[in-house]
Amino acid sequence: MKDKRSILKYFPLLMLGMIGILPLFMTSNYYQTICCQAMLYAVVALGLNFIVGLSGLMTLGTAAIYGLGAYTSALCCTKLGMNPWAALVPVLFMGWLIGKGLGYPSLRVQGVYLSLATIGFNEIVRSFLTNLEWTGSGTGIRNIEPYRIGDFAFDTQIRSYYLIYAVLLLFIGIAWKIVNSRWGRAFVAVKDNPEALQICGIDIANVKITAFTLSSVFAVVAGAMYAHFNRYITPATYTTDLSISFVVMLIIGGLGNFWGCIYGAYIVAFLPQLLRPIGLSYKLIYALIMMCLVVFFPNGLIRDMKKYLTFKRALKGGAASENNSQDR
Amino acid sequence: MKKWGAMLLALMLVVMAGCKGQPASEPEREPEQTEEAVGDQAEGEETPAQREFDGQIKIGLLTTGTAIATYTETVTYGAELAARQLNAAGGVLGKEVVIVPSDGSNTADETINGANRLLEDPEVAAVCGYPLSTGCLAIESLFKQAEKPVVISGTSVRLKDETDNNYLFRGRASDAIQARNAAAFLAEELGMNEVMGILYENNDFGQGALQVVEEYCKENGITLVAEGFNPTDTDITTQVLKLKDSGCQSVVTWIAASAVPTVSSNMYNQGLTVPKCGPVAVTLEENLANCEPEWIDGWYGVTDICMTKEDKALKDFIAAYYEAFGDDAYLSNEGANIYSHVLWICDAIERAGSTEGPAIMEAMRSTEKFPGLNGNYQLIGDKVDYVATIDIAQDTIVDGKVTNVFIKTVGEEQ
Amino acid sequence: MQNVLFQLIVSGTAMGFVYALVAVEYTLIWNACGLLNFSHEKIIMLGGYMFVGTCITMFGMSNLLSALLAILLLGVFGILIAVVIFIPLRNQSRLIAVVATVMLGQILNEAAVLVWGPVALMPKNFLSGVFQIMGATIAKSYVYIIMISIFIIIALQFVFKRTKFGKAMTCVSIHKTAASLMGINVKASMVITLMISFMICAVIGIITAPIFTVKQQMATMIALKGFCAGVIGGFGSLPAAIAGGLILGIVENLAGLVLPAVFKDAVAFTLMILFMMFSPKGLIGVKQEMDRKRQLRTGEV
Repeated sequence: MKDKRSILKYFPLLMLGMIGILPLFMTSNYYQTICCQAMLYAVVALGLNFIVGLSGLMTLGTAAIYGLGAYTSALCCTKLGMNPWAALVPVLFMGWLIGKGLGYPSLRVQGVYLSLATIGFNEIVRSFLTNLEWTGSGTGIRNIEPYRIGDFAFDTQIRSYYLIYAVLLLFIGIAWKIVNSRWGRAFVAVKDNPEALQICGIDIANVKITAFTLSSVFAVVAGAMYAHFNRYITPATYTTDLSISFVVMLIIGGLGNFWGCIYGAYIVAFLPQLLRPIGLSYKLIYALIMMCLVVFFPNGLIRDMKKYLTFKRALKGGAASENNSQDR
Repeated sequence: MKKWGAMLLALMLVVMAGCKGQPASEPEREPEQTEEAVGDQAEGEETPAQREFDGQIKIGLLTTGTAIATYTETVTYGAELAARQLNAAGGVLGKEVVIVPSDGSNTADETINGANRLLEDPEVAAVCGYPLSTGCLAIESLFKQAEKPVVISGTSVRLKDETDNNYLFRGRASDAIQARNAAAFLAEELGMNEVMGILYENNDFGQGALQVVEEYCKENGITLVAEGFNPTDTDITTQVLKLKDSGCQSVVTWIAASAVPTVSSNMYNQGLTVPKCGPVAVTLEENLANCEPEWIDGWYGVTDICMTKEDKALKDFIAAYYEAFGDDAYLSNEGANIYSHVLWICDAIERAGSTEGPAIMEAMRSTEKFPGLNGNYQLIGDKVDYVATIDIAQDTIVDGKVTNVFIKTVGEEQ
Repeated sequence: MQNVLFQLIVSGTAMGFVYALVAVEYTLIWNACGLLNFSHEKIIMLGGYMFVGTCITMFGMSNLLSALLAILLLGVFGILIAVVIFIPLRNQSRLIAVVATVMLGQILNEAAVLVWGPVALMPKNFLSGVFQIMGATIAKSYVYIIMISIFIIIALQFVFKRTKFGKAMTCVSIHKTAASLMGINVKASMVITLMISFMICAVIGIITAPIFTVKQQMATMIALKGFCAGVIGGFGSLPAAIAGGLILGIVENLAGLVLPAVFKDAVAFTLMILFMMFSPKGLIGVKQEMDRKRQLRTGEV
């Protein structure tokens, strides 16, 4: 029993290590691109975890934030001639701004209303990106330069892979710190017991706005990374469907489960690709699998699997489990 | 209870998709059947021909999957037909031509994944397909990197102006030709050269045309009134009334196929009766069937190929298409384009004598008047564009049914 | 100009009733389950496909019979979905149910292409033609939409106010636990509500088929705008849904005169967000506020 626990404890590190050496096995552009997409999704999902997973607020406008990050960085570089690294400053500012801007409505708007408001936000942003001339209208922005350090440009798939991997590790570090800090506990308290939070003298409004700000900062940075990795962005990418995919990642990983965000992102990015050989109906099968996952494992794939397993074990022999408890 | 219900639902959906889904997945199933049928008639000739093939030449086909299902169906059939005809004639370089489809969906991310998946296979010699300009812009650099030619169907002018890629080929007339000729037809042929309206669909497709028509009007001193609508709009009375109010003499309607009934009914109901000229969408049979005849009577359309044109190659193609895939098969000009593209690629492979990307690219670049269904293929300028001609057709009521009637072919041949 | 204005108001009203009907359909589910059905866009589509694709084309039935059968089929489908998704997930986080319905929508979307083929469908000789009203033109199908919407809303109002079963449903919407303590079968009421809601979806799909044509994206925008209409009117009330739909339809049409028409959708969503921010209960909230103020004033006098 003890052994199993300790293996589980090292599971996250194992997962990160595996992501690190994945390109050695997946040498083609195809798989490396999907891995890059999955890692960027994971960064967004980690941020979204603060709002949806921990604080329990339902937001469905993440794609718009992700897109605004991409557009801010791309416009700064192509129109103002800024260095991509320097462009991260306006990007972060943008994230802060969106976080505040969306955080305030979230104080007034509750539950499903918030999902509707954020869907509205998503549609408004997309409508503007599609129609404004200086954002490149429907065909978007091209020739976005990649990140560079000195003469070393992150322009090939494998180089981008490790750049994004570094960013992922950085954000995992930040998110881990926050989740296990006073703020992380405050986020959970907003979901579980807002009254108690107020009694403790913590301002709920402040906590919610912080959650939104953190989440949108994660999303805009991932968006900027995406713009410089893909080097071409179009408004058609940032649909409500993408927002929903982000939430699906969280649910498959288990709402509020820190490491779940990462494997959730990988499942959402890889599953449709693995199903491609089926032919035309692969998206149907994908949606079916996803719905079954959501209906049967609403607490996350691994968490529910564990629950089913222990349940089965308990059924198999009451004696065995009694022995176990005696051992302990 | 809950689990049984879910299983029942899943089962039901799978069965639904499985049994009725066959028409859509026919490209996979049909070849065997027809080959069998052919085999019955001429077994003696067929078998040795098949034995002769030494290896395969794979040609990638980037479709839009179920996102734009009409496109997927017609290009899959079109490419398949080209491959079958080539194989029946002994293949290319003695090898069998095989079409490898891949879903590029309708978002740039998915298109990149779909294209990468084709490029991952070293046997894929060249790729054709994909109609959305955004997706084409997203994937063109991948092909440059992989040194494999790609024949796209996206029509945006940005694909020519902003790319520097010898592996990028466009096997159809660009917006610069299509939209410009639509405007020119209205202004010059019909003499409506004072105020022109344009109603465009608000995406890369419509905005591309808007840009071209704006330029044309500026050059010729025509006042342009532009109105856009979103692809998901269900009511465009506002736009139509604004156009009507502006007193425009003619309207360029740059809309996708799915918007034709909405736009045409709104225009008819609001009495906007001036001459109109649209893109391919207003000439497609199945769109015409979804409109009341009087809505679309008299509309002009520019299209790569007018399907009712008196042209022997086209007539043969259409007959072969329906014979191979059944009368219910969906056929649009896109299918005919892809058919021509596959033949063009194979012609280049034959001339190059190799399946190496750079060699095929050189052969394709030096193409001289390859006769495709949608015009003769030859390099225009220094890159990307290879076709400069389009057809203009008019929707006309014949015996209570609307058909489109070929008017003329425009554009400069080299 | 006056003509244009009048025409815009007329067609805005027509679209408004479509939005209102959508708002009614999902408000019902909201009342019974406290959940939003995010797949309703695809349910409407399914209604259209069942009507044209299955009943008319495949079974070769007459238009009216086909419409009835399609509504019936969707009702059965609603019962199935209630049992599979809504009842098991009623005690989970709402987010999970929302995502489950979204996935249901995707499944239907993909299945529609595979089952009914890629080409858009259109019913023949069904509600075609136009009416002229004082110089303004309105498609006949819109007139039917308005009539049917009003009929459905009156009928629902009657059921909720006058029948025992309707009162039980209202009770469930107000307090689930109390309702179950009173001996009301909450699950059964959810099943029936879903059935009714899906049947209304089918009606929307059928009567809009001649204007939108039956295709995958036929209901994408009206479904989202239906949400807007519900928020503007005030969740939960049926007459308010009509008011919300009408306001939305007319305002977005008129906004097209001032702004570029492509920002029509942006206007609609901004209106929704403004209402959420300043009057979360929508028009009902505004009315209550005004009533309260009037009472205060008269009280003072």
